[in-house]
Amino acid sequence: MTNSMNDIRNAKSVLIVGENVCTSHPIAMQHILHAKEINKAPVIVVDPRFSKTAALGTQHVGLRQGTDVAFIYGLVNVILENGWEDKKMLAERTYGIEALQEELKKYDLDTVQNVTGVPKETIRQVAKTIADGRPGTVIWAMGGTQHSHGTGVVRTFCILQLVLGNMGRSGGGTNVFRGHDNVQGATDLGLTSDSLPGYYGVAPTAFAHWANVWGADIEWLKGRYKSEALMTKPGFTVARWYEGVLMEAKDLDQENTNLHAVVFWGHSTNSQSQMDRVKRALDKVDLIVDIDPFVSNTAVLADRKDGVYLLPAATVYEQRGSVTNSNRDVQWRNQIVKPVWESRIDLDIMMDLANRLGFGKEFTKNNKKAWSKETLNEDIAEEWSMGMRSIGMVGQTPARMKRQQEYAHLFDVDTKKAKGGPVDGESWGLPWPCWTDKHPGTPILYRADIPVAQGGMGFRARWGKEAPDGKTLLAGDTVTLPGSKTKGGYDTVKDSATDITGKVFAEALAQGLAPSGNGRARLNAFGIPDPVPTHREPIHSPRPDLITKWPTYDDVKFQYRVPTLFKSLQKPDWAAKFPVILNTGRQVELEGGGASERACSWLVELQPEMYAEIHPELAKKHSLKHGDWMWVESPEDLDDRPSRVKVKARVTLRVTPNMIYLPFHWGGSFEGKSLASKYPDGTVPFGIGESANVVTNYGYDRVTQMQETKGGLCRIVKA
Amino acid sequence: MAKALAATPGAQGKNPRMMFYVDVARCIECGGCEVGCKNENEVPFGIQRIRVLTVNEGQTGETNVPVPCMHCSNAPCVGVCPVDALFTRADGIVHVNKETCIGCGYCLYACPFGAPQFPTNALFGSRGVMDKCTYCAGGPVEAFSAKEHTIYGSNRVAEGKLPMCASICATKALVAGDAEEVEKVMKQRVAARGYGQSNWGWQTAYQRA
Amino acid sequence: MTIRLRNNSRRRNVSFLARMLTLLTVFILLANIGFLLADVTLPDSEVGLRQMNQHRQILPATQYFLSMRDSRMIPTFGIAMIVFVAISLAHFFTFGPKDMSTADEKDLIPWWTLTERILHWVVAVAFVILGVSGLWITYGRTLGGGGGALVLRMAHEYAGLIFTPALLIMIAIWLRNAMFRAYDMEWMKHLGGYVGYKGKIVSGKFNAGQKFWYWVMTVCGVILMLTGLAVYLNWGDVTDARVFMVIHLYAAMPILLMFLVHLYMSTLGTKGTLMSMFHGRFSKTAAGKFHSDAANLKA
Repeated sequence: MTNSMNDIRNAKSVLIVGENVCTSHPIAMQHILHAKEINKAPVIVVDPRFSKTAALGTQHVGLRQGTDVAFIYGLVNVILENGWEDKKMLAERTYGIEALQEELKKYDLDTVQNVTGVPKETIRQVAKTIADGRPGTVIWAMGGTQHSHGTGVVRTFCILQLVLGNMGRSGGGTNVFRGHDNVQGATDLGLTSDSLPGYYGVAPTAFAHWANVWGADIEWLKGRYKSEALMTKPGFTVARWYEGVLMEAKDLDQENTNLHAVVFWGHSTNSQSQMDRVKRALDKVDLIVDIDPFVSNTAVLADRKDGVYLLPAATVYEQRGSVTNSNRDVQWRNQIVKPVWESRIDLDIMMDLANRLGFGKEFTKNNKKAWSKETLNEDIAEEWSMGMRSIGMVGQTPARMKRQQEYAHLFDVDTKKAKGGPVDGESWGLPWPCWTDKHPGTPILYRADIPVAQGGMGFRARWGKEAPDGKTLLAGDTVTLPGSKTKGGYDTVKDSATDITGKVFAEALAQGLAPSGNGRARLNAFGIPDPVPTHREPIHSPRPDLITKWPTYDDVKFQYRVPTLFKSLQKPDWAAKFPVILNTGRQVELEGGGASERACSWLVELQPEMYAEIHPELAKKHSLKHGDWMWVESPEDLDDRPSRVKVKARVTLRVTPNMIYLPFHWGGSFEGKSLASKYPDGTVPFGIGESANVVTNYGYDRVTQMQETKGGLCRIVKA
Repeated sequence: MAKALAATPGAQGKNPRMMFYVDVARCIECGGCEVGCKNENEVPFGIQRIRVLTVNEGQTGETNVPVPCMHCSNAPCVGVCPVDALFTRADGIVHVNKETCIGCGYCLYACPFGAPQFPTNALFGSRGVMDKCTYCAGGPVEAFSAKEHTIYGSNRVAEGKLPMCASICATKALVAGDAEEVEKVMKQRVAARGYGQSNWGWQTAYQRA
Repeated sequence: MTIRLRNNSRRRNVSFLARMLTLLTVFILLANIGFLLADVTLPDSEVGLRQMNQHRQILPATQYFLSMRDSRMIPTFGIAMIVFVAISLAHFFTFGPKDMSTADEKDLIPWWTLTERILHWVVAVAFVILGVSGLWITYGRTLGGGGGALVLRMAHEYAGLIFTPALLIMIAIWLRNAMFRAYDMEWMKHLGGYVGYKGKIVSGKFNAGQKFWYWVMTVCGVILMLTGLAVYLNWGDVTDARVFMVIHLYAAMPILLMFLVHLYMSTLGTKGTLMSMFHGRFSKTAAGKFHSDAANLKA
């Protein structure tokens, strides 16, 4: 997120779109309630469902799944027609307003009402509320991202905040709440298949930079891959890896090779859509390795007699190291307990594997030194600190992180700043960019009103000085940070992403310049599909009448090594055969794949069974009472028959009569049959149930291949 | 027993009066209190010393109410117990002596909050002796003894700590402590919010305004 | 339902029935009201308790449950039981028992069938357990709690489960015998001859006293059974439970008092009748004297 959860306390309005804070981020809710109670901030919760957060908010806006773009554009139109926009920000710090205005023409309020189901008056009122309540924050999570045009949805949130001028200020920002306490750290460190650490990508230049950091011979690195083409091509995503097993090798973008082994490292399969296809891949693949403290869904899903290895990993309490949260805070974690029983620390397992695979020495050395066993985690931190120049994840040295732990009591909850002591002026977690080991961190991104040395910066100048149409991509003259030797905008400082000595950063800061430049935010993101976001109906649309005007993308030949279907699956007749909208999401008692939570008796006691939330009218229609068993069936998509799960009906008014809602954390039961007997002795969780992702439909984001699990179709059959 | 009953002198040398402020404007039904309590006191399956109840689920006005034992002033449970197993400590905490209790259930009928709970662990699944929230203050046996831990759970109050539920609450909806401190918090919140009191159960339990 | 008398006069029977039932009702009410009255003149400290509970804004009906423990009703009832025992002993040492015994084997005729005897003792044993355990719970502050009392409370529940079907069967098989008749009025007038009357008194299988005991047992027993099952099986909500508990206690009072009478009458108060409930036979002579209208005799 650009700001922080704490900073929400300074907001004058809170717009939450596609996130259920009470359920997914309960501890963060205190900050939103602070804004509500003390600032009297309106808390508008936009969600198809009357979630717990909607109950605690001041207003609930029920919109149809996947129509966020239309809704936001409706708001933007009202803001622009009333002249409420931040003209200065738009003129000086954004690019592409003309292209945006062209797109906005399609979103008159009648159209928006028709598409979203939100009444015109409500759109007008919400627009006024957030315009009056500035600085205002926009918060989202999977409800915004898990769509086939999810990238577009997320960008409309950014567009809204730019139009309102809520960027680069306290109480504002575009604030995505990430799903786990270290998923930000994971993506920063390059756990995606399309990038090395630090978002450098996988181009040859990226490898060159990291080879430099690692002190590795680039030719040796190249030799580890089948070909340089494959080395520099983004790999499979977690959403579709299994296609690498199921499809013919010739149909993959992988030089006629299938995937033969899969290693799950602290990850669960029941969070991926199309789980029955995942199962088939697990049945077929040569080798499965599951590294986890608990026996996860993966271990018991496959029907096979061998080739499955469970390696017991230690939990977070049994190891130390750094983690990065949604706030971009990098925090140090201590080891509380030594690994129990046969569990081993992840790094331990990793190094053991590296040694046995023959590259142990290369794995543990870098440009400066080799990792030592005693200071392993500290050495690793210093290594990424050397290399993560792109995002400025540099100044969070182990020493500074540990010192913040010691002086935690000096930090203020509203500003995240420390007062007094050796940490005076530091921001909690030294959020990146933290350009040097003297820098206090950047708790609020893109603030142009403070010096870079205190956490100021412009928008990153990542796409050059000029757009293809010749217009400048550098900030206007009035956007000059205090102490900046350059007036107005400037490009990314030369070599700032590749200099590992620190000299370039030091020089830039001395000049009052942010190494990432001072550019313009792009309302028109030329070069990616939908340069200006547009509404697109979900692939499985409950409104076939809207498909012609708002179609999904054309099929893609290859995306992350697999073909991805869009248009060919967007059939108008899905809605008639599968008339109920399928929603998935969280329940507060469980998290992610749920293996660790369902092994906790206290949590299972609170919610012992998998369920589907269903409105009384819909339940009545299918003769279902609260607690009855029901089958949920979903479109066949690439298979020859619908997928199905058997769950209990939880009759509630939270959902509307046209949808059901399934929590996705369950596993241990498959298509009505218990898998309990497949667990090793003594490891069956206290709670087992069907996985919602067996029935989530085929559908993936055009840019990131994120699964479209927040807007699918299904039908219900009484069991 | 005398050791456990001794109340810690509060601020200004007065004896504290421990209570709960249940702020239903803040509770988000995260279940932290429920799980924290169960873990801290190793409460058996089927008993919930604190429960979060939700009313009007899915509708405007949906409210979540955490319900521990409120440790009432002039506790009705103490009044009706046929064998005088229930008693109020000097610091206001209401305890049951599980070695005296006969599991008749009168305290459950008397309680406005439904705090007393009964395991079905006696002969033929009959009701056993009553279990309820102890304010994490153990029971009428020696503090920190194995017996106390097994029968009553943990004793945080004797360590100078507050109950686990209030300590772990995500949004500080459940506030525990001495009456003076708790009332201060309550008044601050009411003043800051500018709208009605959300201190659920306050009048019923403590007969204070 | 027709009550057939030897002289087939029905109109008079109705008034006898009405009078008997009135007597029964009056007895039960008197017992309860008597104890309720004990609460009307509460000392200030107990009035305070009521006021406090009113402040809690709970329902008036349930306020009574909360203050019942501290009411005077319970000690008053305890005194009443002691008084009944005292009266029984006083009767024994003054008027003395009625002799219904016989030395002659040939004088014995079948009186109680095996079913009746088994049923009687099953109900009796269950009743005694229920009574003792119930009284222990009621007087728990004096008698104490702990492990033994816990066992007694559980015994109360199991005995209640046995009492339920046994009582209902017993009510059914003795219903005909228990219907009031014209001559029962005479019995009542002279209290069955137990306080000195020497004249002839006609009774059926059950005399008026026994019938009275049957009806107290039936009415109060069924109320106790239903309210007991209600709290055991969690019928209704907690407000209902409070009401059930109050009714349960009030129904127990007449039944326990009458039980004391029955206990005296069937042991010390008469000679030779206790054994008849074991071996089932009764003296024909005594039957002719004291239960002249009994069907057994006509056989």
